[in-house]
Amino acid sequence: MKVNFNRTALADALALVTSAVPSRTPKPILKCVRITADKKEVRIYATDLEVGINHLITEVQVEQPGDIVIPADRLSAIVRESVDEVLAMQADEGTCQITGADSHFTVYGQQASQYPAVPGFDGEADIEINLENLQLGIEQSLFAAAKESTRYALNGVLWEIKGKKLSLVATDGRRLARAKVNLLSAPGEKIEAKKLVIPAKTMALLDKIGSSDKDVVAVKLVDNQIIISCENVVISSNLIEGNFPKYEDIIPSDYTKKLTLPTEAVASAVRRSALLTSEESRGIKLSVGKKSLIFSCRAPETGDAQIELPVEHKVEPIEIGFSPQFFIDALRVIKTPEFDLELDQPDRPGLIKSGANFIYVLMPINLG
Amino acid sequence: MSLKEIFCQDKAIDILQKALVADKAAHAYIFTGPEGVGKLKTAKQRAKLLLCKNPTNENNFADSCDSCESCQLFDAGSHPDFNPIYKELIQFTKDGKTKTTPVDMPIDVIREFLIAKVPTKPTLSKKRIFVVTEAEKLNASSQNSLLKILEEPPEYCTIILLCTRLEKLLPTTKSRCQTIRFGPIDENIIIEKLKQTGLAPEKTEYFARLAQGSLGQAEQWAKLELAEANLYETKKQLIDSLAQYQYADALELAQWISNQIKSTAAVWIKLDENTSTTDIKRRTAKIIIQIIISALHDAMTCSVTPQKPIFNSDQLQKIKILANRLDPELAAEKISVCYKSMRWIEANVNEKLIFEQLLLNLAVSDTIKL
Repeated sequence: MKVNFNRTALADALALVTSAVPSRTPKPILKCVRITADKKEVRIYATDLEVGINHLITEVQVEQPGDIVIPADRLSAIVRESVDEVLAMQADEGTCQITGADSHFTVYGQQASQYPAVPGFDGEADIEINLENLQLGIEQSLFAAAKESTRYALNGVLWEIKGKKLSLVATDGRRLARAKVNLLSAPGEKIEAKKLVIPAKTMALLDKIGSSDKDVVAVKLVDNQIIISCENVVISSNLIEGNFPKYEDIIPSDYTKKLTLPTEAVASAVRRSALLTSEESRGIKLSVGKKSLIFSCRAPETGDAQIELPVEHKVEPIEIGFSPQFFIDALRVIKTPEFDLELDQPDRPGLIKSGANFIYVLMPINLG
Repeated sequence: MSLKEIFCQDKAIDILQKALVADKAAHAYIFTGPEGVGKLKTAKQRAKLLLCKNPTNENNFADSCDSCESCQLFDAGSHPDFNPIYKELIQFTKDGKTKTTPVDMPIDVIREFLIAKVPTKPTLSKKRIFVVTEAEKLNASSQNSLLKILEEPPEYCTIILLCTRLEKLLPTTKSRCQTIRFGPIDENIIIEKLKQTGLAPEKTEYFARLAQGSLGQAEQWAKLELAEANLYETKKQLIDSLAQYQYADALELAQWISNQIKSTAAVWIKLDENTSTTDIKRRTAKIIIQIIISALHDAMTCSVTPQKPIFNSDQLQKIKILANRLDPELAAEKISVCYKSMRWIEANVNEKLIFEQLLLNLAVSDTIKL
């Protein structure tokens, strides 16, 4: 294999691709990326056997097609530290020579034939989404997914396709986020009304794709895998087995107390009121007064804090406790200047809504 | 390699085959039997068959095709749906970098490599197979963490626990799995296999017999011997010393044994870098005890049924001396002492103390006549 790369293009591709490379694995070959040179273009592959990615680079000159598998961390370090505009890569029999203007590296690779297959995207897409919208949806849902739950489905994000809408839902049992994303066209029959649970790692990877506002994401379901293609990138991922809880039942629909609040000001108030929380008393209290909203916290050993936010409203007074971190997590991803907060009894969850697409259910804390 | 090439385990394989034909294959198995009789081999071939895309079926004997993509990846050790679980995986767990290889199967390995992987659907094949080696080293909390998955794994999932000591598994674990027993391997086959390695005939015969049906152990010893670990030489000297062993020699002999274990283990560690060093030292210590047991056993055989073949036929004279000094009943008592020491090796007792104690015990009675 003999290829001349544009270094910036290669660096960009590697930055994305290497995030799929597992940091710890008993199989050394998975710590490598595979680079395949065709007549005119080069593809870089990485996989951890659950999530796979391949990135097409067109800003190359291929002098001789070929195949090489080399350690991802070494390669990306070389490419990152280089100053040249063009890097030449020549590979044969498991060694790879990388040459810049004043530099020369020889990196030992592995057998390309032993690298696990990473699927490509062939055929028709089942659904199509605008990348920017999808990434917003991911940002607004992924943070709520459980990190290490024994209920496996909670470690992923639910994709629910209904009509021309895709709902992304994530929950860890204490809060739940749902973001709706518009599809560009009606979904294919195979995927319509299906419920897929996609691992968090795949979602994070999707979120990292560099976007321009016109990029379209094509999604396809093959056996147990979902294959997602966007411009030069194809991501394939296993699905998670298991039932996602019936989340619709959790989203309350009978609430009458509705406050419209400024996002920035509330975020600041929550952050400040949480400054004095301690290990034992982590919650903050939200008191709806007559013409204001009071955020407060009291910890026996540190002291107490109180932030008052004047708000016009017609809601009866109520006091309710929340985890400040969970509250802020949601406010951080709200893009509108105002959001709706709906409440009922202090023992029922709070409901945060922003625009038509974002809903966040937040379980209260008993501060008694 | 495929299932039909596995020998001496017809009964176990028959059970597995019948279950497959009747479409009643269990989702969780315990393969139990002595060390080195082919449990892992069978588990691997079974996995290969279950993962294979075009399994063959000759005379109702299902087997992997050995040629499809799945089989080739399997042989290359990179099948994405085959997950071997072993305790050395600890260094690949979240904060495992700094950890040395443990003696027990760490719960982190079970959590990160088994429990966390089960819910992901298979990538290439229709199944996802987990093979847990050394399942007897699962402690109670690891086993408890497994219960839910053993009870009700997803339909694509098969879990095989390999276990040399079934009593170490909790009843709750056992009741969730189908147990399949593996028996010892015929001595002649072991001799045949050892001959292929190029080992000298008298060593071949001795090791084959000492292994007592454990082909894996015999092969390991042969490998050590070929790497000049001088195991056979150690054995000869040990039996020489035992024949004329006196109470006063105990500490010196224990020291000598300790040194032998160290040097043998050093060779072994070089050969087998993936296994934990503690494990290797323990296994070496166990070989020494096995040799002592073999000598005592021979002494018994010699005095009761002299026509029967013995382990140490190459040192018959020494065994006869030993037999003169120990009557069968006493020898049997000493053997049980040896087995007790064997258990201590597993229990973190200082190795030198074990041997000192053992040797003092072997001599303590005045029935050893000088």
